[in-house]
Amino acid sequence: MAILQADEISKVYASAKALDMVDMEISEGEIFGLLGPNGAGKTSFIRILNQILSPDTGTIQFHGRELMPHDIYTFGYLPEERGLYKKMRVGEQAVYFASLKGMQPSVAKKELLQWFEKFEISHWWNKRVEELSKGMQQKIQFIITVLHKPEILILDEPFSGFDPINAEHIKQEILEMKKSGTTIILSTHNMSSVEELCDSIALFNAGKKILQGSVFDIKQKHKKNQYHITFQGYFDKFLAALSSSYTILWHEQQENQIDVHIELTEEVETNKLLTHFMNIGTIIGFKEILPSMHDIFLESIHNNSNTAY
Amino acid sequence: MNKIALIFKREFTTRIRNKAFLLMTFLGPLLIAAIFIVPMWIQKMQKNVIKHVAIIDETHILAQTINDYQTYRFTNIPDATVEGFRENLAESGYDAVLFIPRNIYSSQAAIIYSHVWVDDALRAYVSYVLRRDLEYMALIKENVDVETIKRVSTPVHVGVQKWTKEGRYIDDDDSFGKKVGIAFGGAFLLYMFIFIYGVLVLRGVIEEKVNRVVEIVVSSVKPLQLMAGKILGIGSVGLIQFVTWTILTVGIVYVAQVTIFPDVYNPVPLPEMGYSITDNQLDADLSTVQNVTKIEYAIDLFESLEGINWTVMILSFIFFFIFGYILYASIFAAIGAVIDQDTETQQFVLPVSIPLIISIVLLEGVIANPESTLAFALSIIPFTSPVIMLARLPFGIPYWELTLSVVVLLITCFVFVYISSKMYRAGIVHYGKKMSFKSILALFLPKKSAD
Repeated sequence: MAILQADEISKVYASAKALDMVDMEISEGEIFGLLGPNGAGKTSFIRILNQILSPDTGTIQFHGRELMPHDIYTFGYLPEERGLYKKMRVGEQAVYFASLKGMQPSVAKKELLQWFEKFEISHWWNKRVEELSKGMQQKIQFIITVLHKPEILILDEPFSGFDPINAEHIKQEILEMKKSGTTIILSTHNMSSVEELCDSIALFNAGKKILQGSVFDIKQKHKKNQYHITFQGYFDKFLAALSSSYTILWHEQQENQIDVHIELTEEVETNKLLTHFMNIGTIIGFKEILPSMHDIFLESIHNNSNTAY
Repeated sequence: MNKIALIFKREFTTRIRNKAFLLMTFLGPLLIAAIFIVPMWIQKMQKNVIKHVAIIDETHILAQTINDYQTYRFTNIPDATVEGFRENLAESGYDAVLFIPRNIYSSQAAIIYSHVWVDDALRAYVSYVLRRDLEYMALIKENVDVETIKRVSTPVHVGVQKWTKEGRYIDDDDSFGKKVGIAFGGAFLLYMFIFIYGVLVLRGVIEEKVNRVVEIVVSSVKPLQLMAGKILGIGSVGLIQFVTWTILTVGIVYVAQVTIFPDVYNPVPLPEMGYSITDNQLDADLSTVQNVTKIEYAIDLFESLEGINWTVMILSFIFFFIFGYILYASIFAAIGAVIDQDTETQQFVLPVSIPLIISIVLLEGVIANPESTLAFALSIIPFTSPVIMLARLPFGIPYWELTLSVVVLLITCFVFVYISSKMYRAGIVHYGKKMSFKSILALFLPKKSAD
């Protein structure tokens, strides 16, 4: 069931249309990726979900009813452009933000101390924010975002500014939040994290949603009947055996082991393909090539821009 | 807890614990007090420096009545000449030379020679004594009897007395002076208050934008709540600082005046008219007249201000102080939200401040004539009314004017808080670019249908 459903959301600024009749469904408990080039409307959409902006048209349904002002208590938001009050002390500031999200200061403090211990940063509690490095501040911001155990967690480029170790740390936290039932909306340019984390995605371009679905479905839809074959034998024989049904996209030969990418130009069963090659060498590996999210991203944006102009 | 209260609390506590704030709260009064104390100190220093004035009196008579006055010591040197002093005044041990020419009757002039620009007090004293004695001698020469002269020299004190429309006595000179003090003081305090803390609001808004903390905040609270909490928090901090400043400054200046400079503000009065100086008769007459005035009107500041009603006055003072601040602070908050950099603040602060500056420039005129059309107009226009009303209040103004001014200011406040909160809401999440005038305007125009 969709925990969040957007219907015909539009937002117009003075000079530009930021969102144009966007529909979206986000299922409970999934990690949902929001993708798109800069200026595609992701941040506007996120701000509408967070009720920072109100849409010009359209509605947001939350648990099947209209989104209400008090729902912000069940949302956690880590903006892309994020910062903290530089002069305030870390602990005091974290308690402040928690109480803005409706937590009792005493409860907030207790849970914060647990988080700080988990992240091994307890000694930062009384430091001023300006004494911390940017990466340290990002950690604090992440804790502040998730402290009140939101139902919906919206993360805008959560990995930017983290070193690989801490990025991994955060990734594990995100997966743990998912396990505990949190619905996570992840906006990012980092396609490898999309592949690793996201169950579904929506792709934005120029204010429009141009693609949505589960990562599996989208990959299936965009696959191009391409296969990777590794075999031992002679490439000349391989070439000679090639029928018009296959095109070689790429090959590499090391000693007598050959790696080939081929694309089937017409509907040919893969078993047939394999029997064909079994006769000319020993097949060591065979794998369907699925497009990466990166490729799908580029291709979809490219196609969309072409049709738009 | 209420969101505005949370924002308020943060603004309040972080600012009030700030070391720079604490330092300024207690250093400020010392600096302001110095403005009053330094001139007193200089005056005291000057008082202690004895200056010697040589008198060259060609009339051989007028010098006799020129006695030592304040820090001036006069020495009559019968046979000296101006030429004799001209080239060696410095070595002579005198600071100045007063030359009374033989023909002073016809020329009506005497001259003080010195290496430095002589004090006005010296000039005033010498010319007072010379004029008095010359008049005296002229009258005696005309055979006017000395007794007659004493009798006819009648100093007159012209007082001013204000009535209410119902004919009650309100102001006399003394209370008028105090009212002018209250008027100037109140208006200046508000002006300073709006300037210092209004700009602090603006800086606070910009700081949140520059820090990028604002998006986290507005995902939990409404921009209007953020703006309100901020304005009220900073206003309260400001109020505390201001009250501390006022009390400490007045205290320091008062203590300094009483202990270190008790004599500075008690200048020696000019001597009374020549020979009549001991004339009991004349003094008695004069004091009777003054006593009659005092007894008959029995006025003191407190009672005279009763003509306006203390309660109304204090309540109005508080009202204009608070809403004047809120009006300007909300405008400053909106400006902070739509501009992107601290460096741009000055160019925006000036246009907003112009009504305030006009109020201060016209303040003297308003106080001199609190019932003029100009004063009335300025006390209704909401951008000048807080300062101008505070200046007019001590003199008593009709209730309908006060009510009109309050209503206009309240309405304007609501309108501007609304406009500002819209601009604030739109502006705070615009990073890295200033909002164009067009996009600000678009906030207030009906949306085009999304076709």
